Amino acid sequence: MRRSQSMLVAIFIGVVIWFGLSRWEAQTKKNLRAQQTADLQSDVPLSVLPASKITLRLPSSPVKKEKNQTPINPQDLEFTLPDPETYREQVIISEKHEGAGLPPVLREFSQRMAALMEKAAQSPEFASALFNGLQECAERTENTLIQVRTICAVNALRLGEFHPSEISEKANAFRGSLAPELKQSVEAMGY
Amino acid sequence: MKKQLGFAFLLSSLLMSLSALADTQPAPSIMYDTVRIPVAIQNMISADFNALNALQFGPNVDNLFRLYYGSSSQDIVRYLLERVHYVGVDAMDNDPTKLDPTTYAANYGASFLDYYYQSALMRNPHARPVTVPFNNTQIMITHPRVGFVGIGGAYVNPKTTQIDRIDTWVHEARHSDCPSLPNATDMSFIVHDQDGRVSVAGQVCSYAHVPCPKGHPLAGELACDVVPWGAYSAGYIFAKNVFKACTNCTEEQKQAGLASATDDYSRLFPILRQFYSNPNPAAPNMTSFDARPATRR
Repeated sequence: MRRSQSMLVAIFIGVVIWFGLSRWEAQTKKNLRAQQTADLQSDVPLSVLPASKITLRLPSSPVKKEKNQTPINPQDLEFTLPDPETYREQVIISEKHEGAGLPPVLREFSQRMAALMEKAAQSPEFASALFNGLQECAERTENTLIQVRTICAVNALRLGEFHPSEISEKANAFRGSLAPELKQSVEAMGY
Repeated sequence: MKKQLGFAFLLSSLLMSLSALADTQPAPSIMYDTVRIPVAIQNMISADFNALNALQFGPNVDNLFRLYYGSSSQDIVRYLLERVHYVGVDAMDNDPTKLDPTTYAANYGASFLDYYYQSALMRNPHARPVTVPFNNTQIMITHPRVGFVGIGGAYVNPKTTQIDRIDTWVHEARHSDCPSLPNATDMSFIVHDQDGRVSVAGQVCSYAHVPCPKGHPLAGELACDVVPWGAYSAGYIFAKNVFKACTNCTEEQKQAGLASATDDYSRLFPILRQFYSNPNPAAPNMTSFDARPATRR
C-alpha cells in the first residue's frame, strides 16, 4: 500500500511540476509579446525630413466613392521618398566605423509604409488610391533609390493580394511592366 | 522493487521537468561587459534575442534559410550564439566612455586579417592582435570566432526598431566566420590598397566588405559584398523572411523586414544577385578555421 502511495505521490509531483512549467512558459511568452509591443510603441515620432525630399501627393482620387463612405483625404496617402544623398551620407557615417544597420531615412520610410498598408488592408478604396502612388514611386527612375522603388512595388503587389477583386488586375499589369532591375529586386523579396 | 520503480519515476519526472525548464529559457549565453554596458541595455539585448526566438516562420520560408542551419527562429538563435560570445561597446574615438552614436554594432573579428597578415605571413615579430576592453580585462582578437561585438549608440536609439536590431546581430554574426585562411597573395591587397580590398579568398575570411561598384549609390564605399553567404546576405535572408514568411509579425515588423531586406540586397554585387536568383544555389560554408574560445589577458 505504501509503495503504491509513493508511486502516486511521484506521479502527482511530476504532473504538478509539468503543469507549473507549462504555465510559466506561457507567461514568459506573453511577457515577451508585451515587451515587443511596448518596444514598438515607445518609438519617438518621426523627424521632419528636409524640404529637398520628394513627397508623393496623389491626384484627387479617381476612386469611386460608395454611399456611407468617408472620402479619402489626399494627405492621408502622402509619403515622402528618401533622398539618395541623405541615404548615402547616413551609410558613410556608419560604415566609417564598420557598423551595419538600416539608415534612418529608410527606417522612417518603412514606418510610414506600415501605417499606409495597415489602412489599405482595411479599405479597398484606400488601397486602390494608394496603389496609384506606389506604382508612381516604383516607376520613378530619377533620384530614387532602388530599395525604395522595390518597397513601393512589392507593397503595390501586396495590395492586389489584400483586395483581389478591386486591384489584382491592375497589379498583374503592373507586374508585367516592371523594368528588369526592379523586377529582379522584387522577385528577390519573394514577389 | 515497486519502491525502486517509484523512485525512478520520480527522478525521471524531475529530469523531464528540468529539461523542459531548459527549453523555456531562450536567454543568450553571451557575456556582457557589465562595466560599460548598463543593465538596461543588457536587458534590451536579451529582450531582442527573446523576441527573435519567439518569431514564427511559416511554410513559405525560403531555402536560403539554411544559412542558419534550419528553418526556425531557434535555428537563427543557435547561429548567433555560436558566433557572438562577448558584447562590449563600440565607443567614440575621442571618448571611450560614450557609445558611437552612428553605429548599431561592429564585430571586431575582421581585425584578425591584418594581424594574421603581419604575424603569420610577414613574420613581423611586433605584430599584435587588436585588444578591446572588456570588464576589467582585455580581449585579444586572435581570430574571428572570438565573437566580440561592440554595441553602438544607434542600437540603443529609441527610434531603432527591434527588427533592425535583430538584423544587425544576424549581419554581425557572419563576420565571425573564417572558413579558410587566406594566403599571402590574397592578403597583399590589404597592403597595396588602403581601401581594404582583398581577393575573393581573402574576403571569405570574416566576410569582409568591398567597395561598392560604379553606378551604385554607395560607389567606392566599403559597404558591399561580392562573395556568397556573407554578412549582407545573412541580413537579407533573415529580413526577407520576416517580411514574407513570419506568421506572428505585425505589419510594422514586416515593413521593417522589407526595408532591411531591400537595403541588404542592394549591397550585393550583380553577380551575387544572380547567384541568389537560382532557386537552389550552392550551399554555404558555415565553418570557421578555429572556433576556440577567446584568449584573455
